[in-house]
Amino acid sequence: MRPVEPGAFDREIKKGSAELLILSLVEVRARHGYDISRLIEERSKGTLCFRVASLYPMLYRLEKRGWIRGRWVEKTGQRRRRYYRLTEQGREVLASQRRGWQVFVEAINRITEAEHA
Amino acid sequence: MPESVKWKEEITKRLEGLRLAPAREAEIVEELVEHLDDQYELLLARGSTEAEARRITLEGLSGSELLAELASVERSVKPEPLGALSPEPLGALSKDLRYALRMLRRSPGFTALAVLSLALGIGGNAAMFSVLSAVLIRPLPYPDSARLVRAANDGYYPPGGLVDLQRESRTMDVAGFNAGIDLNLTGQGDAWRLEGTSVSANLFDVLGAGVALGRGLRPGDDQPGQDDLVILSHAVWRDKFSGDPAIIGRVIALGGVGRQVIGVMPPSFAFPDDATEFWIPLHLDPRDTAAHWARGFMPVIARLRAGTTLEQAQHEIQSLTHHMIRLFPYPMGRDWNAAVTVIPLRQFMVSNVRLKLIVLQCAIGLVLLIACVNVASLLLARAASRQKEMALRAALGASRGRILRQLLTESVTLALAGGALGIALASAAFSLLKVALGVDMAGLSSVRMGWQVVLFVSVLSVLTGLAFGLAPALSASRHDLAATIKTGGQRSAGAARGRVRSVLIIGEVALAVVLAVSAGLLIKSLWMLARVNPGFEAEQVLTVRVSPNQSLCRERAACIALFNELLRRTADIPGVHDVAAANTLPMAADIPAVPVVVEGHPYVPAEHVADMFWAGAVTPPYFRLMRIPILAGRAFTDSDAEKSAPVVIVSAAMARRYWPGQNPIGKHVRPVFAAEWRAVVGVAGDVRQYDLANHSPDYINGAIYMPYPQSVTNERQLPAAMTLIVRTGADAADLPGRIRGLVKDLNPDVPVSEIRTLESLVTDSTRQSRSMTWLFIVFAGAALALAAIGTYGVVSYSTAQRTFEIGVRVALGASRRNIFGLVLAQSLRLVIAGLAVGIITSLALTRMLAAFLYDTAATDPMIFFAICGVLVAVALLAGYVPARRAAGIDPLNALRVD
Repeated sequence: MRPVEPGAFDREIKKGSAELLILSLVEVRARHGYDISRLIEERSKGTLCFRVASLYPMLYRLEKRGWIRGRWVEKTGQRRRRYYRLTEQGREVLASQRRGWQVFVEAINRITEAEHA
Repeated sequence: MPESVKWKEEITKRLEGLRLAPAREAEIVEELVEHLDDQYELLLARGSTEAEARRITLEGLSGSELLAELASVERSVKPEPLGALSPEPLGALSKDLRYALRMLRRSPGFTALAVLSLALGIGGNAAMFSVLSAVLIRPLPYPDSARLVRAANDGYYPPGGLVDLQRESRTMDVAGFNAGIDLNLTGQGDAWRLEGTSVSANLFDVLGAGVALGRGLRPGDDQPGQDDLVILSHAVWRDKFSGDPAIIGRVIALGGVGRQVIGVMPPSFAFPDDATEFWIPLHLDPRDTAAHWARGFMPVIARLRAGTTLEQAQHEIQSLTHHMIRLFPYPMGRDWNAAVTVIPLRQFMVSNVRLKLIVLQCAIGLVLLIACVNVASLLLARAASRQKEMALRAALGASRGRILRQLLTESVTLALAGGALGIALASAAFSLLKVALGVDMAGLSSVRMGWQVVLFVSVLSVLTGLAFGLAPALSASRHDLAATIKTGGQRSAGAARGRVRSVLIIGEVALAVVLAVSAGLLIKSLWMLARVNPGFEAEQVLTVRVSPNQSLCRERAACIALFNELLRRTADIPGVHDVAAANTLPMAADIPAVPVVVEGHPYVPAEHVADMFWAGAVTPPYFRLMRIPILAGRAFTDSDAEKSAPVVIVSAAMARRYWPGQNPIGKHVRPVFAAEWRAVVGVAGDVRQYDLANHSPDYINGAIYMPYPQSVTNERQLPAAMTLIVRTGADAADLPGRIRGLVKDLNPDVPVSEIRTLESLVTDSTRQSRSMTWLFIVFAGAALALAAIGTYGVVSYSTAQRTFEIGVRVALGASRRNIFGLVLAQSLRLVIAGLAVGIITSLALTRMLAAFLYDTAATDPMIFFAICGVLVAVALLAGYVPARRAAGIDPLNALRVD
């Protein structure tokens, strides 16, 4: 199965929402990069798909901003992997981004639904 | 797993352009490889073929997205490590350099100003260094030259004294030489006057100089009967003998005597100076007592023997000289050569330019210092305006060290550019310096600017760059991020930086004042010199040296007749108003000194050496032609002939000194070696014989004139070489040719040389003062310009900073005049503070100039006042534009700034 190539609108949505998605995914537990990318793809049923080339720079950027923190973790019998978890600062940012996103989505919904009503 | 290796390759390739720290890169690669591995496995598990899975996996890396995204993340946040810690310091350096060049290009005015200032300072210093290295650092061109010494504090010995020193000294090998032995070369086309030096047979050995051709002198070559030998300079051999190697062994006619050529010196050999064209042995004949002990007093040089020190040699020459007094066949004064010592030859040779070198080096050093201060001040102002840029860079993660290095790279780049331009300027300054120091300076004519200069300038450039870059760099890199960004870099510059700049400018003005005062003093001195009455009128006078062999004058009558006839025929040439002959001209550099006994002044031979006088030998029209007034008595006439009663004319200064308040006419003098007294028949006005500033050597006590037929040199001979002095009408272009023809008709073996005007002699005598003054004018002009620019920079910058404050003042009712005055006062305050410091410094420093000043005190108040005036003008000039701008500030706009 091939991931669907998102259109231009999708790209814009994705860009604006990418941070929110990543922060949400590491909110409850630490995850490594591949885990994050797989979850995004699965939960969006293939609608959203991050390339390696854009996912990792974004992780590093979030880390540099101090919103998430990465750590190398070694588990017996496995190679070591880098796990990212949300920091306190990241938690605040996530909360604020969530609110913003909800407001945005509600607004969009109101507009588009009104036309159909 | 072969796929992992492939992923790793692909990723590493994509990260290449980033120049990440190796540890960081490994981390990223590891993480991405794992991701791709997992993705690949998943694709296989879902049923893709290996090739398909690989293609899809790699698609995640395709394009430039990874590189671009990582570049922006990694670089903006974490700078490369600094300096030695950097894995690629050169890469970082070239990046710094490119950035520096870009920044400098962006402000061409600032760059041009800074580079020019530095070029001036660095160029001057490079030129000075070339001279210094040649004169003070480079050894004399002789082996082990540090052991060469010369007798000083008088230190002149007669031939007998030289022989005594050579025999008795245990510490040195002593040699003597007598420069200024000019002889005629005949039998080689036109007769030619050559400049030579007679030397003791061991002189070349003492120097350690070898010949280029033939042989040097050997022991015994200076003994009578074996001394008809000559060694030629390379130039004479090349020009007069077409460089013929067969010259060795040939006998040539020199001074009317046959001399065998035994050697040719290499082109580089120039002892005692590079004008020397031949060397002949001294004539050391102890049987000729008078010649051996009473004439030909000469300087001596020596080489310290192995294991002896300079101090030992100094003690020895003192005691040898003291004991030598007994050897003189006539009573020699006990005070003769009492203070003699030996000093290193190099020190002796540079003694006359040493002070000048030091003074010029100080002046040029000051210019460089001013240039550095100015550039530092410019950089500070720039640092202020670039504060926001620096703050942004710091906010993006650049460390303080990183910013410091960037700023230092900029200033070193500036300095190197200045250095490059400076080298070009240096070669111009170099020729000026050569003139200012005197071309006959030892070794100076052969000085070239070489690799040492390039090295020196490079080092100087970098040091200068670091020096003037440090303060602004420190200041710029130390900032309060938040404050700077909040205020947009406008008003947070801080009073501290303003103070630093003010102090810099005050220092700069002070240095400029020192140079301006020096230039002023030299200008006044030159002005005083120009107004000096030399005691004669130089306009419209042509002079020609006519020099028969001394042997012609063995029959005094022959010489007298030759010149009488020459004068008579010259007078007949149309356009000639008057003609005379003299053994020497004023300011011609040779000093015809004769020891003279003065009536009324008891001369006790065993007590003192006889007083030396400038002894002119002149024909009767000399005083009339030269417009030298006869103040008392009479001038010479044709009846003052060879056999008539001997007479002299004395200078007014001599008469005042020896017969104060008495009538000198009828008094008597005699050369110390002559029994017959000569009656004083006239007193002539004083003449600046030596130079315009009248720097006669200390041992000259006055001037006497003798009629040519009665005249006598210190060698007890009639002077053979005379100068024809011709006062002409307006058009006398063909005169030299006609005189040459006349002389050739009379005697083809008599050379004619040194054709020049009397005016050029006078002008030449002030040439060094003039070039030195010009150097100082250039230095001072540059310094004042730099100081004005610096002051302007500070005032206009601080006015811009105070826009808000000025706006408030205007809003509160300050008038335009008030504001104008306020800003102008700031400029005046800076300059006057610098002026005060500068004047005090000048009072201390200009004493060094005293030796170069004529009739001008080193603290001449007129010059100091004038410089104060100039500086106030500079302050007004520098403050006017910013003051106008400030007065035009609209309070509404000013208050809206933030």
